[in-house]
Amino acid sequence: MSAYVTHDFKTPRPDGSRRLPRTFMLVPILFYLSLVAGSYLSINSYVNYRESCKSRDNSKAQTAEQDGATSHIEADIANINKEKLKAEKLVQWVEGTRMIQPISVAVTRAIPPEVSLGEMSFERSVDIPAQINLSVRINSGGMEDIGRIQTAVESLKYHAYNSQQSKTGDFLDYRTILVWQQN
Amino acid sequence: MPLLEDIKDVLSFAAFRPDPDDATISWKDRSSGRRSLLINVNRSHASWRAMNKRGRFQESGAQDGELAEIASARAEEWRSLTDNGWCSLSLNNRFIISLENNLSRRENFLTLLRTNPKAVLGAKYDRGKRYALYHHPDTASTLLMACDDAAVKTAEDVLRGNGLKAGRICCGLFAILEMKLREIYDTKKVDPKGSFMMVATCEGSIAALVQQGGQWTDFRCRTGMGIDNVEAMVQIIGPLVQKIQPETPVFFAHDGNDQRFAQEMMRNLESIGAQDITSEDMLWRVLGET
Repeated sequence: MSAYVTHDFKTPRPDGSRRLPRTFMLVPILFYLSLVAGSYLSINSYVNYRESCKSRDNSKAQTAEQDGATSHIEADIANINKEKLKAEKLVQWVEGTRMIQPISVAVTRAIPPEVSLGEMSFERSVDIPAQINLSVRINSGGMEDIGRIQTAVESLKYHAYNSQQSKTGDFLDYRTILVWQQN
Repeated sequence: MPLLEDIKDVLSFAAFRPDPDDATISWKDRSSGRRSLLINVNRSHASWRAMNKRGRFQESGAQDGELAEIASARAEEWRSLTDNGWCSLSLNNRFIISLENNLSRRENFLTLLRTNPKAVLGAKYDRGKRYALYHHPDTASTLLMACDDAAVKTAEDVLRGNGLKAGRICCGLFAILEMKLREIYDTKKVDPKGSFMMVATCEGSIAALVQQGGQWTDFRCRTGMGIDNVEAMVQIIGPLVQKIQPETPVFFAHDGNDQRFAQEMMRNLESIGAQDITSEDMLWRVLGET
């Protein structure tokens, strides 16, 4: 029965319009699909945006926490370095406070028997214990004896700076600053 | 704003649905998704049946009187049974059906019959008539229905004046006759070269067609006889019955609205071996489904 269409002799409508072809249904279908897809993308983007904001806030909090830890560690390192410097100075000071006895023995042994050693004094500054002011008075000695003293002192890893000799009669005064060489 | 309306129609898919007055589409497809009203109009009587959005028949009614009186009295009820007031109207008076030969059978004759009937009917065209036709599938014979143009216009004006719109105007009797003839030929109920007699009635109108030896030979039609006058109807087909051979199959189809009338007719036609080939709600199915 459905294939048969009953006759119709109604007056045709002057403003009647033809139906659009069925293929044109793609237009509203695509429109609604794009609406659905757009809504999905918008919602998805918004959710992702919210998650990103949360993640960014977490990252900022973590960064701030890390920065705090870093500055704390840096302060600790600065303190350690300060302590280290103090320790190094202390080590240097301790290293500088070497025994004077070996120097006096070496100087005494460097003087030959025919030459008499009138005076010998060692002065050491408390602030710079590595520097020792040596003053020696030799009776009947010469410059070669001074050379022997220097060689003996250098063999103990002391370097003589600002050496001065002065001869008064038979006495020869020798003054120098001994600095111990670490290396 | 026509542009906005067009866009709205496209987005709501309304632009792809057939118009309620698109004559090339069946009423079922046209009224899909909207309620409509089927009305059968006689000279002094009208009956109607509502169709819901799913195409199922609902409330029915009938009233004596002319269409103009009934429509104005029932306008509100009829409008409430439809979406946008669309109706399928069957005119059951002021028409004649005749048997013709050698009418044009060009491919788009149905469309031409609506737009330029003279191109199909030639000299038989009368500008005061509107036409429908059904061609014999194997011969050059044609059943031609001519309805008064004034009756159609009057019916349209009456409906329009009461807030209703005629989506289709047809002739119920001719539609029943055409549908049953198609059924007979399509299902080969009779030999195409054989003989049969077809009697169709629709609320007081009757048409009878005789085929002998594969040719339509006789046709009689009468309208406005009323449903109480069965004897007069039998007399109309009497001359045709006398012409047919004794074993010729006789088919009877009626509108399906008045079982008492149908039983009375069948009692009169039983003597010639008539078969009732009426479907349930025949008239409303013809108006509402095809």
